[in-house]
Amino acid sequence: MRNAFVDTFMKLCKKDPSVFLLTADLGFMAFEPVRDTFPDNFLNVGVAEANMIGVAAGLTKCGRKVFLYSMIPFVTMRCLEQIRVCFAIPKENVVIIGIGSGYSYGSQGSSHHAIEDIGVMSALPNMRILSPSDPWEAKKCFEQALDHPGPTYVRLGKNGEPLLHKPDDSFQLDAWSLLRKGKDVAIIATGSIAKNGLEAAELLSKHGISARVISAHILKPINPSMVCSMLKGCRYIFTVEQHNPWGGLGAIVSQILTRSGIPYKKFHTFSTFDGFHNIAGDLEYLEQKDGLDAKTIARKILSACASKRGGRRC
Amino acid sequence: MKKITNKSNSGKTSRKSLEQIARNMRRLTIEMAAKAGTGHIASGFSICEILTALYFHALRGDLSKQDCRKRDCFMLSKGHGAISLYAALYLKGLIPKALIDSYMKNGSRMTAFPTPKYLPGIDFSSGSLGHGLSVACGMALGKKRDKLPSRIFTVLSEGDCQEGSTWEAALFAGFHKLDNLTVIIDHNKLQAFGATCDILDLKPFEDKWNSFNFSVCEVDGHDVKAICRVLERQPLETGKPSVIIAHTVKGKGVSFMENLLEWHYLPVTGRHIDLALKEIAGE
Repeated sequence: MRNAFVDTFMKLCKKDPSVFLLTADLGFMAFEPVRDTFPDNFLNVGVAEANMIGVAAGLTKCGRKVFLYSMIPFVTMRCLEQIRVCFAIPKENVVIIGIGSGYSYGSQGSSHHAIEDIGVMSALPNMRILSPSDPWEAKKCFEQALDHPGPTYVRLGKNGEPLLHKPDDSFQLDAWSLLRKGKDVAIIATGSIAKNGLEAAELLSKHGISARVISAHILKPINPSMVCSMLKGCRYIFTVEQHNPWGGLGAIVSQILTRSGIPYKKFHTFSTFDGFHNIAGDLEYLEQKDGLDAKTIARKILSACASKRGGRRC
Repeated sequence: MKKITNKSNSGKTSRKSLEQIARNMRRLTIEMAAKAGTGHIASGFSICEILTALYFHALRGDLSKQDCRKRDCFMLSKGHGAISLYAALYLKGLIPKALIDSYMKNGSRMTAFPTPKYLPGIDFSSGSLGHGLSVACGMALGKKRDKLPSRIFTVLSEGDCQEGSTWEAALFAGFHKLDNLTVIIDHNKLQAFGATCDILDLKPFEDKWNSFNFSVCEVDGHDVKAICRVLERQPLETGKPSVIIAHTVKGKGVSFMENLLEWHYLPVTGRHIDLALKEIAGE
């Protein structure tokens, strides 16, 4: 997804000389082409995220359309109040790009994991949140990232994520995208973990369950009627995310279900556990530990569908 | 380090008329605070001469224009002095009296700390300390890259200088040789809950800025002509951002407010209003 950003940004530079990329010393083996080809549109501000936010805000006054880049914990939580004062309150048209959603940085440890950022960033008024599932969606998101009267936060995985979309799939920024058709169960996933949702759907099909897989590439703002139409016909609803239970996709969908009265029989959220893994472990290992692997997701959905209790009808 | 002292009057506007503007600024500050029943008077008073020198001498270009590329920019990082900034904008003819009269009234956008994108030249909220210098750096960098001659001025408080982000920004400004940036520090030696030297002292202050590759000078922050003269000399050195350490007195201009912590907060009421206005008028 990082390379999808670099490709899109290089194209933007050719079209619009006012685009500008700030990085807080991240981007080795990625941003060199931007730095070397478009030096007037690039600056590494050093390891100083708080200052990067203010500098970006100042640059907007000089007509620049600024993208800011670092690892998720550092470009969101480290400088949250700067983002609030410099971007959210004055509705600055900037794009914050965070890399390393969930456990993407695996064995690097808890300081580099990102399991709270959706909750933290979505609490800011005026903030738009995008969370693409694959490089194709990431490219589509970046092409339209500046098309918002305020700041946008784009949550990325790391690099080398598989393509989940076909090149000719349709895409609408303000509506979730369909990764797999299905009629009984809806699996809504956000970010690169949508891959596990697709694999779970494949496993469920062997048990005669038809699972629809939806990529929630936009998390804020969300049009509830879009969600209603995406979930149409599915009575078993599940969310899958690399985020803890507080303030992430599960919380967002549960809020929509409650407010909009979408009928369902079962609703369950697959999220990271509410704590920090202070152990080494790669992405797959840590996801498995939290029950976010495809097999566990499929098994839990299967048992939820088998149970007749619970749920509501409207 | 260069020391600027008051030896002669230079510039177009006379000392007398500049001092009168600063007096009017203080009078308006008292009137606004009295009407709103609010504080932050002393924080405004310590920058009245600085604001006068900026708005009535140094800042170039049409300040009413939203596009900041063709004009100088000013960012009041110490947002708690906004009451006097509003007075300055009114005296400069940039905002109508009706706005001054609506200061802190329910439904008005004249908040104690600035509301962004409402008043000319005020693009950001400030007063959450430590943001102003970074934003000023971004503007200075943008203007440098566009080879624009217009400049950036920002006023910081001591509280601003206790925030880590200010020093991230200082490192950035020095390294990128932002000589179109001038930082003025309202060095009044008092902060929100005590004397700066007792809470988190900034000494050696000049050395800090020097070591961050700023060109440093000191000035009497209530000698409006001296401030004008040092502002005429920006940048103090080519290839370096400038910092002017303005020695000021919190509450300057009203004897019973000067150097007293409580006037960071207290509203002015009853006989104090008349007493303050009389002192300001020089009666």
